[in-house]
Amino acid sequence: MSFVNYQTKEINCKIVYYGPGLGGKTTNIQHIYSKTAGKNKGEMVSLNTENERTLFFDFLPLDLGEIRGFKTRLHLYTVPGQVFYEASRKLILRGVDGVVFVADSQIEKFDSNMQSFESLKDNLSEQGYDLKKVPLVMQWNKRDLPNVSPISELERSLNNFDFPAFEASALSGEGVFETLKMVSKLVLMNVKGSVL
Amino acid sequence: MKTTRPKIIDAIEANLDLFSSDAVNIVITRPDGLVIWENLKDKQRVQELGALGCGLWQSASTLAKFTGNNSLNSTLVFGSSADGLYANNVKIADHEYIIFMVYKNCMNPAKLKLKFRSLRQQVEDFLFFEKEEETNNDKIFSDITDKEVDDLFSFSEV
Repeated sequence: MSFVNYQTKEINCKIVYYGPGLGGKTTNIQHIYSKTAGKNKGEMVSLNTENERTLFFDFLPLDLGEIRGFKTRLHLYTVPGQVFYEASRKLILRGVDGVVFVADSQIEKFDSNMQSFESLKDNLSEQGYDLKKVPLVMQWNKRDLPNVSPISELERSLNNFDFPAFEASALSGEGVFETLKMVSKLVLMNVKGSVL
Repeated sequence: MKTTRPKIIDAIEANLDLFSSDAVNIVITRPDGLVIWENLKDKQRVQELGALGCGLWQSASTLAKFTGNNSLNSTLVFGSSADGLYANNVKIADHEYIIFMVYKNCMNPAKLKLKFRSLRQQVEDFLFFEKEEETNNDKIFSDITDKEVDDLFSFSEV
């Protein structure tokens, strides 16, 4: 849940990058980190395995500019994508304000995408969120690869609620900030004036 | 526009004299990792500590449920005779906070932990006795423009 501090004029919001394993969630955050000036970012935390697969989460605090007199900070998290880390994904989704679903566009990843999106729906529902009202952006990642599903197929199978969607190639950075800007806009539009 | 300082911050700072040493850092977070109060010198690491601390706390709490007992005392401790991490939570109704203490070169950690438990009690008493914070459910940026969002990201090299 977003935190508005009226005395210090600060807003804090939590955004979680969700999706199947090896789909590009961590790559998104790494690109954002690499393109952000030092004073605007905190330390990036990555709790991962020896072969650099996310074990628990990645975390990046991002200080954006000011909006209407309020300093805005985003807390970006990724979840581990492998199927057996479901318990961890539930924990990381707590208090989420916005979600980016990073889908792997490769044809052979179709089932993984579906399974991950069903998991997201279930976990959000468990925490009392209405999927239709959550600020959510879809990212069709890995569009640079040769064996990718058509966008129309991805939209039909994964985007029944017509969430904003962006094509991306997170390795090169294409689409990463466009995705982040859109989810940030949706999150900020949803911020309520509660204090704690 | 609301200008009142959150009352819980007052409750915390009223007990700051319990921890006068620079070698003791206190971080108080919400369960989602958001830091609501801290006294760290290195401000760059505040959010990192909040995220790590809450990840640790939530994992440990979930693991503890495997015992089948949901009423376990909840304290996290990593420590030696002089340095350590000590954490506890405060939960009243829908409000929960997690309090972390990191201490270094401490002559008497037991005494420090006693002070920590006193701080925790003060926070718990505040939550129990004080009125809930007034909640404003108005969406304050419902008309945000694309230009305002672009301006927010003007720091990036994109």
